[in-house]
Amino acid sequence: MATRSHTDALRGSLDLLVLKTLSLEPMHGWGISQRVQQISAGVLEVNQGSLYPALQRLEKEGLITSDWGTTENNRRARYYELTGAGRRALGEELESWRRFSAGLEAVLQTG
Amino acid sequence: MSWLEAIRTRLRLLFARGAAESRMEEEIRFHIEEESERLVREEGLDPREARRRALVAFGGVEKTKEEMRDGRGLAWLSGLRLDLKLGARMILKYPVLTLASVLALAVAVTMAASWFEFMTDMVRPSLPLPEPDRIVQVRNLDLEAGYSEPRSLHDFETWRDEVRSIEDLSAAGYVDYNLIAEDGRFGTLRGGSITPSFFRFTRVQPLLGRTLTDADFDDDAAPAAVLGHSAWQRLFDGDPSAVGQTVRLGADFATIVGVMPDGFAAPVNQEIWTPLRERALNYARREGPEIGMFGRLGPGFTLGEARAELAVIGQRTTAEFPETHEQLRPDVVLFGRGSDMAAPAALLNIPFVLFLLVVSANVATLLFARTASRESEIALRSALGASRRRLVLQLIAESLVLTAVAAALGLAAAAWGLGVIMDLFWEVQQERPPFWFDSALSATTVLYVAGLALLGAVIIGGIPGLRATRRQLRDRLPQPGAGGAGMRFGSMATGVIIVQVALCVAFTPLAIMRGLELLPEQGDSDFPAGDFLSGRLTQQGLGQRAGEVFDEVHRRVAAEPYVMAATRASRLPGVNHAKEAVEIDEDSARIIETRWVAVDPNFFDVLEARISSGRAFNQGDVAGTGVAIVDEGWAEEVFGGRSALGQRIRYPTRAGEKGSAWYEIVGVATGADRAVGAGSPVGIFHPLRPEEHGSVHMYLRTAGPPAATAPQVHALVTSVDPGVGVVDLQPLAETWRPIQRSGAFFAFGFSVVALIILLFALIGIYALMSFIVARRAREIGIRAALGADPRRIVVSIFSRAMTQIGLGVVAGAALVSLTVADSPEGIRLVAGVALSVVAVGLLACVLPATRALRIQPTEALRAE
Repeated sequence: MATRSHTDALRGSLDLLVLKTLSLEPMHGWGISQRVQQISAGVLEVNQGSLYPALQRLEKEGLITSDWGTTENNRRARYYELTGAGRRALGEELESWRRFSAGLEAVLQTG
Repeated sequence: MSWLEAIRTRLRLLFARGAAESRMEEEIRFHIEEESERLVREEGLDPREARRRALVAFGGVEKTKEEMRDGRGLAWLSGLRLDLKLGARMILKYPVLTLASVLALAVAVTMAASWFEFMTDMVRPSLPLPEPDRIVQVRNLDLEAGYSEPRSLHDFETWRDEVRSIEDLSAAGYVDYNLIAEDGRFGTLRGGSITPSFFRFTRVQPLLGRTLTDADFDDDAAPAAVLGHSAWQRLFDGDPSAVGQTVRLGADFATIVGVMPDGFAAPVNQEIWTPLRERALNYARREGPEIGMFGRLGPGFTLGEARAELAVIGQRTTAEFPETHEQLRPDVVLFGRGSDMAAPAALLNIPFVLFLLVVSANVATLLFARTASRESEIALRSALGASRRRLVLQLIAESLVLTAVAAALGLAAAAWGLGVIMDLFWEVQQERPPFWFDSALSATTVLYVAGLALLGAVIIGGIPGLRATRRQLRDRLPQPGAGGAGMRFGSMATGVIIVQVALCVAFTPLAIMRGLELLPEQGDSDFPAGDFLSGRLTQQGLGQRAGEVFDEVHRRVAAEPYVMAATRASRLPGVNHAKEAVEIDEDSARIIETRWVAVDPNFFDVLEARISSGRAFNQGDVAGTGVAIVDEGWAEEVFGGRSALGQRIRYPTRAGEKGSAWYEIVGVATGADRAVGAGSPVGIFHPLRPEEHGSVHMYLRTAGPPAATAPQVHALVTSVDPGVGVVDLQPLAETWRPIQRSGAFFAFGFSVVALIILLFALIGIYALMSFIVARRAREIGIRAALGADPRRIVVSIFSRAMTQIGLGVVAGAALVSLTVADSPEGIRLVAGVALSVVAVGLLACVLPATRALRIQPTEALRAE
């Protein structure tokens, strides 16, 4: 994990955004894509489809779970929810992200 | 418990494959619809445009699906069901090719499974006794001679008293008993004379009565015996009153005190057990009765600890008695698992695995044609985002359907065949199988075959798969207008056809001939095998007197009024026994493997053979040394046209001496092989000295039906001396029957295998030829449409095919010419196979060619 490729980094940030989104409330795929697009402006710009493999991966890692639910329009949709492990992972990711951006900040200010 | 959750999710995803697939479809559909509605709602687009935009925003739907399928943990497994379905469909689509492949694979699996099972039974038997993994065998290895010293009564007593790591250390001597019941019924039983702890060691309770107790071993105790279940059934019809009967055992009497349950025959194939009363103090070291030693590892002790403990005692004994024990080392092994056997036995499986690999590779080549025709499907899926790994795995999974069917067939055939073969094997050996022997297929064998099926599938699907996905697949997407570029299949197919034809022409005749050779020779039909009674004289404890007693028995039997002629041989000719290396004096570089038998001087007379040149044996030969009579056929083979008389032979590999002494050939016998009957000819005869052999075979020509005289002969033999017994007393024809049956069985088996391989090769050639012609359908159709003379097209198709087949036939004939050149039968066979190959090749061209000629030009152009 020492050298993360460009895609991994991208994936990483998408994962982080998904976890962050789900930490507020359970949400279906399309809803997540809307939220992610609102708060990130770009990560999902390439295509919305890439969200689904990411969701599958996170579910496989046990960070999220999913179940069928009903939307406001009374349609069947798959809802995703953060697990305990997901919540912990989000905390750690945010922590390291903050450390990283604080470090970056410091470097930029001294420069 | 997040890992638990993760595992659950994985499992759910894995096993609910269909559910996962439909869930994915539904989620994506929901996403596209929500997005379209949003675009209609927020940007006022019309629904069709909104949907288009939503799809664009989503990106490649199929690509996403493939990515998800790939990511769905153990993707190959999750895709397996679909792949297997595809595989099953392929089987139905190419039935002939499939049938041929499955049959050939099944033959290879049958052979591999049978051998593996046989080896497992022999080398790693599972003992049907309580806690079999604690049962050990103790041996006294002679380092110099390379075998274990069975005359170890002294050491046994030492070990029994001193060793703590082995419980109930017991000894068993192997004895053949002639049992005569109170009602006069008799039979020869493999017996064990055992030490008091033996039944404790086996931990098996008797079915009736009791086992031997310590009191039975007292010197003044009444003789007792325990009967095995099979002997109880055979000689007492399973009557419980057998217990308590006093029977004759050889010269002694004994009371039957118990009957053991069915399936118990420890230590090997024993049917009766008596007390071993021998004491070491009556014998010198390395003398006395031959025994086997068994015990159980004591609680808490390991095999290694038992070995170490015995090694220490062994060192002490070696130091104390160097003249007898210099080379002896005690050794402990798990019973039935001589550690020295397992590794070489495992290696013996390799040829069978290799054969399976060869067949698989062959099937792979044939299927390559099929894969080649699916290249656009492969290219399409690859373009849609399926990874190369996944495509290759799909092909492997498809092949798995093929190999799994073959494995199931092969297992069924092995389950049936092995039972038949093993019954024959023990019948031919004239031995009851060891009590742990079970020819039913074990779970290990089934697992082994499953592994082979997987291996076969990897080869069959993997090789064509890797080839088909190797190059830039996208280049080969079907493009309108331009014909499919196609794999470079033509030149490879030509090579494959030539090799296939060559192998077919070269090896199937050889296999068929070999099978024919195995067919038992019926001998001369006028040899009156039905007039002879044969039996094996055995002895126990006669020592130096053995020869004398055997001679006395022979004299007495021959003098009986119903015995017209009697003769003896060291081994029963016609019953398979090992060959020995023979060296010819005039050409010491020449070693010939030959069977030999020692016979009485009147052997040739009694068996209606004659001495065609030289002389017969006389009594002087029996006393003297160094003469031999050889079979006429053998002499012809070894000396060609020259006379064998006066030539000298010897046995260079005999133990104990630097090769044996020289034997001069004094006579040549003709027709001795007709008495041998069952196809294992004997080349060399020596004068019989009964004392040199552990047992001697009798041939008695009887006045009446031989079976009727058997009881009299038996009674007479056992009355001569208590130490002599007679085994397998039955008409000679009956003794030969299992051998003839096994010969016929193996010949049949061999021919079936050869024919299946021939069939497979022919079908393979057919499939390849017709495939190639079918691929040229478009070209043929266009040429026909452009007005080419159909005859010329036909000629061009056939000349190409015939060139390929012709080259193969020539190559195959060249290969095989070395072995069959001097056998007209072989040449006829090769010619027959070559002709059938040519015929099949022509046939393979006819159908696709006529079909191609009938194609409408427009259709031909559209074909791609």
